[in-house]
Amino acid sequence: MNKKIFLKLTFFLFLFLFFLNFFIFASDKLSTDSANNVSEKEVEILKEKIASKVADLRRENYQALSGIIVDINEDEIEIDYYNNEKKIVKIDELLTKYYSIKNNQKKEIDFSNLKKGDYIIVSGVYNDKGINANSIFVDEKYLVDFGKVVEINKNEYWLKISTLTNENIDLDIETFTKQWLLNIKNLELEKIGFSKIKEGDMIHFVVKDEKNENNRFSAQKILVIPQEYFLK
Amino acid sequence: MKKETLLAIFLGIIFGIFFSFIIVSNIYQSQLEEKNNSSLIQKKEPSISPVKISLLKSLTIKKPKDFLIVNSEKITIEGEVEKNSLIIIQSPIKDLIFQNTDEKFKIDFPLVLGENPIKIVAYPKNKNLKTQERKLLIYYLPKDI
Repeated sequence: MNKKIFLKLTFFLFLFLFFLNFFIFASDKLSTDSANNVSEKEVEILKEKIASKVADLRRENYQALSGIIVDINEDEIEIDYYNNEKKIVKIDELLTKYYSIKNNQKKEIDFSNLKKGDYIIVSGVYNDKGINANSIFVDEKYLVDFGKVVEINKNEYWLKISTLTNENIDLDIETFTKQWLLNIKNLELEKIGFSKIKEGDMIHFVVKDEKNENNRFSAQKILVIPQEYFLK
Repeated sequence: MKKETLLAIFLGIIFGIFFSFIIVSNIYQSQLEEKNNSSLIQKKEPSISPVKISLLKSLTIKKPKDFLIVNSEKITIEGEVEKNSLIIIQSPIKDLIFQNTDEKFKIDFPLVLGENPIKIVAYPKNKNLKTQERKLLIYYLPKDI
C-alpha cells in the first residue's frame, strides 16, 4: 500500500516537473522571439532615424544664394552677393544644370547663355568660398520696400520716397504700374490714379532692381497707406 | 449628617472647582489665540502691487527661415507682433493687409518660381510706437531639393 502511494507520488512529481520544464521552455522561447522582434523594430527605427538625419544634413548643407555675375570662367563664376561681398560658384561640367526663369516658368539653357550682369540663383552645397552649384537659375531681381512720400512730381509722374533707413528712392509711376490705396475704413484695397497720392502718405512698392534711362526705378506696383490712417 | 455624606459633598465641591477651572482656562486660552490671530492679520506688512509696464511686442517672424529653399507654391508665415497692428506683407506677386486680433499671426502666402523677396511691415495701433519691418528671401525651386 505504501509502495503504491510512493509510486503515485513519484509519478505526479515527474509529471509536474515535466510540465514545469515545458512551461519554462515555452516562456523562454516566447520572450526570445519577442526580444528578437523588438530588436528588429529598434534597428528599423534606427535606420529611419539615420536616413532622416542624413536627409536633414543634406537639406541643411543644400542651400541657395543669389547675386549678379561679375566674372565667368570655365569652371567657376564670381557673383556679387550682398553688400558687395563676392562669392565663388563652382561649376561641375557634368552635374550643374542651367535654367532661365520667366513668367513663373523655367526653361533649360546652356552655360554659354550666362553673361556678366545676369542675376542668378545658385542652389547647391556650400563650401568655404561659396557654393558648389547643382543648378543655376537666371532670374530677375526685385526690390520690395516702403517709405514716406516726400516729393511728388506731377509733370513727370515720379515720387521721392524716404525709407525707414533715410535712404531716398525715386520712383517712376509708369502706365503699367499697379496703384492701390488702402481704404482706412474697411482695410480693403482700391485702385487709384497718380493724383490721389499726397506728400506724407506711406508707400509700399515693388521695383525691378535696375534704374531706367531717367536714373529712377520703374515701379511695378505701389500700395498707398494714406496719412489719414495715422491720424485716426 | 453622616460622615459619608459630608465626604461626598466635599469631594463634589473639589471636583466641581477642578472641572470649572479647566473649562474656564480653556475658554480663556481660545480667546487669547483669537486675539493673537487678529493682531497678526493687522500686523501684515503692506504689499506692493506690481506696476504693469507695457512693452512693445516686437515683430518676430517664427517661420519660415530666411534664405529657405522650398518645393511648393506657397509658404505659411508665422509671427508675433503687438495686438491690433496693421500688418502688410508684400512680395512681387502678392499684397496682404490685415489687422491681428492676437499677438500671434499665421497666414499662407503664395510664391513664384525663383527668388521671392518678401517684406513684412507692422504699423502698431498706438501711432506713437515705431513702425517695424522684417524681410525674407525665399527660394521656390521645385524638384531641386
